[in-house]
Amino acid sequence: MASYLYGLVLDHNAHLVPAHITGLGSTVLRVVECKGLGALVSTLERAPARNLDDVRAHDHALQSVVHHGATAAAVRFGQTFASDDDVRTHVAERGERIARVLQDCDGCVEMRLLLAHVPNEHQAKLAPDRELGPGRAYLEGLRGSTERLKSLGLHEAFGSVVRAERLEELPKNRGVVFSHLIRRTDEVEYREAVSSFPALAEARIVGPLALYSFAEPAE
Amino acid sequence: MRRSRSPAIGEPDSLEEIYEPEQLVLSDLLNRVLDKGVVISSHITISIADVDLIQLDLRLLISSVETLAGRTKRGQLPVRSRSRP
Repeated sequence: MASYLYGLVLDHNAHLVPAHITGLGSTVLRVVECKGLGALVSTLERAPARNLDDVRAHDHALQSVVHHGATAAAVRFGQTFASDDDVRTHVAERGERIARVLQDCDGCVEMRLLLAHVPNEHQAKLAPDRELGPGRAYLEGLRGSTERLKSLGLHEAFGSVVRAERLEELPKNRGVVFSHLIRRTDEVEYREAVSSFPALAEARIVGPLALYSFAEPAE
Repeated sequence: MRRSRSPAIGEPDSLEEIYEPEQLVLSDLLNRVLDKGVVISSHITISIADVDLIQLDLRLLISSVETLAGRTKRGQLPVRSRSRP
């Protein structure tokens, strides 16, 4: 038996976490008080497995917490502890830093904007004089250039809806992800902003999520 | 009794054979759940494909299998693993 840790919320948001959320192995989430923070845990009888079921269960549990109104900082997959007291001890060591992040981001969620890279073989097939749609043209321009992506300045284009932005490339050149920190109440406005941006016609929006990219302060 | 399982992350058929748009979403899911978020404990216990229990004492991070495999192959990551009784 072990306490598996999914994420952390501010203690004043703990009451927003309902008792019916399930996590890995359909175990029920509970909130363990940790000096100003609430640790989202469930009791596992086995080690978490590095498979899609458990990864999805981890993410789904956090999404459910976010859905019910609490801002949560995601904890990286696979962290188990001998007991709830062990969770408290470990969280206490880093609690101040995490609490600061959660206080700064209280009321916010993370949205992720996924953009697929155009595979090389597809790009080669495109005639140079072929007229490209704005979305495709945008994707054409993305390939392999993080610096170019940064220079797009989506953050500025979205205005005050986006409080913070981080950019990363997915492994194996599958695509790029813009992580956006937005206020929970701005989700509709955010989606409208994305859909009104022609270059993002082929982008996929994922969220609202717990804070993954924003769980740690910017370096 | 051994129960059925979903493919372990990193198995050849777990991501490559999935329809492209879904692949993008899955790739992001794996990337954020395995490679992002707060690291509370340096000692992470996971099982690979529900069979072997592996303890990873990585001190700083546990990254996605792809990242981990790549770095380990290049000798850049001091991974210490051992089977659990």
